[in-house]
Amino acid sequence: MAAAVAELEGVTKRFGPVTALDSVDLTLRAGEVTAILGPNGAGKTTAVRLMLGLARPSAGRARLLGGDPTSIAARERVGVMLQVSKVPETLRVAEHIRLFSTYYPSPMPLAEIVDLAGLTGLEHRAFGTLSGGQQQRLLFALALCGKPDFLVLDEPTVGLDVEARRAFWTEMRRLVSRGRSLLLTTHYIEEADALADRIVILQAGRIVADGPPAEIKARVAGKQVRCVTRLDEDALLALPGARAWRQDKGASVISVTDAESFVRDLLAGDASVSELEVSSANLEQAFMQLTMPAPPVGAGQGDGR
Amino acid sequence: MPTRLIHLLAGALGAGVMAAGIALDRPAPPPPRPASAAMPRGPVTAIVNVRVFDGERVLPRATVVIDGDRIAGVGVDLAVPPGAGRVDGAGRTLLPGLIDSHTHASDDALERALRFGVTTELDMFADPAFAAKARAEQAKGPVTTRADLRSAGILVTAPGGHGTEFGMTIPTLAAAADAQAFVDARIAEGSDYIKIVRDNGRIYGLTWPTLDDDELAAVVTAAHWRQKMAVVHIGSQADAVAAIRAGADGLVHLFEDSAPAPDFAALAASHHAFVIPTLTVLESVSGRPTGASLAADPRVAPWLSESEAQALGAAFPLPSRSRGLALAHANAAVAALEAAGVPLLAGTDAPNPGTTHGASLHRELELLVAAGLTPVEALAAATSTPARVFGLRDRGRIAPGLRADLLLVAGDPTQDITATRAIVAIWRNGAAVTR
Amino acid sequence: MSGSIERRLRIYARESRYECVKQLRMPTQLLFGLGFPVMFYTVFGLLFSRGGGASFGLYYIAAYGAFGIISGALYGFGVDVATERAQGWMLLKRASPMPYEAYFLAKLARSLLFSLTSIVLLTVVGVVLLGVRVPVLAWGEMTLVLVAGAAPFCALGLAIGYWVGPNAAVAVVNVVNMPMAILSGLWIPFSVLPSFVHRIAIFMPAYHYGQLALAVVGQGQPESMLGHVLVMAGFMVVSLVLAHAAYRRDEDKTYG
Repeated sequence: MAAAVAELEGVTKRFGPVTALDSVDLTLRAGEVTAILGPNGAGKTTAVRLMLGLARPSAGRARLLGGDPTSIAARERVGVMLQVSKVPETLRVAEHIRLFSTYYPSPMPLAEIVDLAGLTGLEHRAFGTLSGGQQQRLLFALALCGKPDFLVLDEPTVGLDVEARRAFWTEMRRLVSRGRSLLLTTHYIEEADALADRIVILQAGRIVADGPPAEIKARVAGKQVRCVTRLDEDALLALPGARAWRQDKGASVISVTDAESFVRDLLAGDASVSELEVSSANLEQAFMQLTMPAPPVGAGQGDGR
Repeated sequence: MPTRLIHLLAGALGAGVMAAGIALDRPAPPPPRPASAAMPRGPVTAIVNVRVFDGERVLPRATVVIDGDRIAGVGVDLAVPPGAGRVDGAGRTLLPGLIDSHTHASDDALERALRFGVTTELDMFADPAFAAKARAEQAKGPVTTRADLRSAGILVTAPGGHGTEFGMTIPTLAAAADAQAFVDARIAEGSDYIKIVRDNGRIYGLTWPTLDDDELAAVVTAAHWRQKMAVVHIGSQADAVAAIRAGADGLVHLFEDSAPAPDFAALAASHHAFVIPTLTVLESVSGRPTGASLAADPRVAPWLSESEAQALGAAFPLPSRSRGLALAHANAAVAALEAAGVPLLAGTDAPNPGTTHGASLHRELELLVAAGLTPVEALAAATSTPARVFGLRDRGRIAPGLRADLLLVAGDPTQDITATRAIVAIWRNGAAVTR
Repeated sequence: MSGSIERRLRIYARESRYECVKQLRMPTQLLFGLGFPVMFYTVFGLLFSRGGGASFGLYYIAAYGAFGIISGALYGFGVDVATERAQGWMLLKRASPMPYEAYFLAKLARSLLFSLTSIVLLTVVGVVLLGVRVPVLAWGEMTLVLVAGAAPFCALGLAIGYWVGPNAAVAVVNVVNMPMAILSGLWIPFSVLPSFVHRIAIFMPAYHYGQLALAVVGQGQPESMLGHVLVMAGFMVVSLVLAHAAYRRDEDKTYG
């Protein structure tokens, strides 16, 4: 198996009465792109901070590149982009990059990083004068300037418009094709889909799903069939393509991967079915469904491959 | 991981250190008395029914109790302790022991001064060895047979300048750059304050080399850097102005070469400088025999020695070219300075011609009153003011806990200043002085 | 252990350089810490000394110098740290391989530069406009005392910066800075103030700081220098403890 770039071993983190992470085991491997997906408050940011040594676990252990996350040696191989609101506004783009570059043993030349981050022409502009997108790109540059082996991005495209987001994904794909490891946290499912080899879903401090995008997507993508039927939950879930079931005001709502074959068998199994509706599964709704307190029946808890 | 504990301990340690520092810097209590185990304690004495000038104010009638070398109590209805010696104060006035703020001490000067009620002399140029001996004696315990001494040691003057003409070979200051080393050497010799000479002698018809403005300022600064006061002998008004501007803490003479400029007093006041007018010696320099009236005064004459009487009748041997010098100029300056709130101190410059230690201070008081001070102001100039200015916190006033250096005179010097000459009794560190 | 000493030093140097660059681009802080003292010194000096008052001029070089340096320390360490914490900037730096101490050394370097500039400006005004004469050695010793004595106030600033948010930090600094300076004799000398102020002053670190500097130029109160040093040292320890405790509390705060 490839070496681990970051690990959480039985990690629990409490902030006073709140438990942000509950006995979480997570190992990220070299060369992989992992996305941690989850709603706000799920513990994504906490997990990342523990891996980066910005906080200490209440129980368990965090490792970064096989060592203590607070060590400078580990950090020299890591590039980080956090949800920072501002960096010192009076310093200029080139000055910020130059400063960060000195922290690393073999940083990228200034011209190269400026080009890579799309900041050409903005080197002498003070941070406070940049647009939102430009500021984001500078933070990105700071993450990359040290030629890190492991890149950690915490909600990197929040606040960007759709176009900028897509451009960012293209850029990311290019970068990781060089064999870097990448950890990304996001609450945009398409982002996880576009970039990740592996998606880990966190909800209320626990991992509720962990697997390749196809598998996760299958659970939350697809279509939704709503009907009033005398078939019960077990019978419905036995039908082909059925993924998840819930009740909604007397009607059954079933997530299905293939609506056509499901409906055919539904009608065959219950001729008296009524109020039949087939709709595209709303991704966000479905996602929340997945991360509801009780995990859906039939959904396997992902583990290592 | 007891971080909390570390925080608590470190915080407590820091707070403790801070508290220690604050305690060290608490406003100081009166200085402790020197170890007086060897010295026998004086008796308890009560001066009853006496008018008291306590250094600042007049109490028409009070009782003052002396215990050992300290004043034990001052009060209108103070009870006399049993077994205390009683001194009747009716028709008399009790003053703090007088302080002569400008003298030159040597030989038996301090004994002579005490005989006329001067219990502290502030010397402005003396042999450091003499001063050291006096200091050593003072450190051992309460001295009762001579006045207390503070000294400037060797003065700071230019090569060939005033101070070098007395036959003592003294070090001189050649350049401003040497100022700190020079001052440090004086302090090492034991100088309590630094006296500087700025006087080219022209107003007396002489020519002396003297310190220029840079050298003057350098010495003043060097003295301050060692937290010592810097006082200046000046000749002319211009010298006085230069000294004040250079930051001097005080002048040890006034000028009599010219009428004081309208802003002179304000200049001194704004620089927080004090002045020792030494009208006695100025009168002598301007040609008038200042000490003669003292020598003739029946309240003084019987206690003067032969040589003292002669000295009082003498005058300055200066060329007659010292015209234009008039005591009236100095008097005008005294009045202006008093009005401006500048502290004035009584000093005689004894034992220059026309003066003697001790007796001449009474003449100085008389001259200060003639210049416009009230008797009370003049008395303060010889008691509480020099004590305050020179940091002699244990004397200069009559109050419990202070030194029992006291002078009892017949009559009321707060009305007639010459009453200070009618000395009835003198106490030095609580011990009665035999005249 | 990665990185040579040389690289460490380069990080310190660059961090310090940019910290100073930031300061130069912050006109309001410069105004308060440098401009005000120099302005007041000039005005009061011209009003009160009329062409030459060595002790007055000297007193205020030390006193205003101390005040300016305290201001710089409280703003640089207090307000700026609070702001950088709130912005998340400090977190990003902590996640980077920047050695922890570089951040504080840089702020100290900035404080040093600021302090020296303040003292030099005041001295120039004093010498040129007010005719103050200061021997070089005494000036050097006073400067050393003032610069070294900034440390406890940097520590106080740190404690403020870690405990509260940026707006609160500005308020706290303003409430602490000026009144403490006045009560410590840095604006009006004790000879003019009523005597009870002196009794309060001995509880103020700024008083002891000022007295150490004033003593060098012969303008201090006749008190124990050891006492002043002890108060400053103890105060620094207490401030550092508070700062560290606040930093630890920060670590454990709930993130969104």
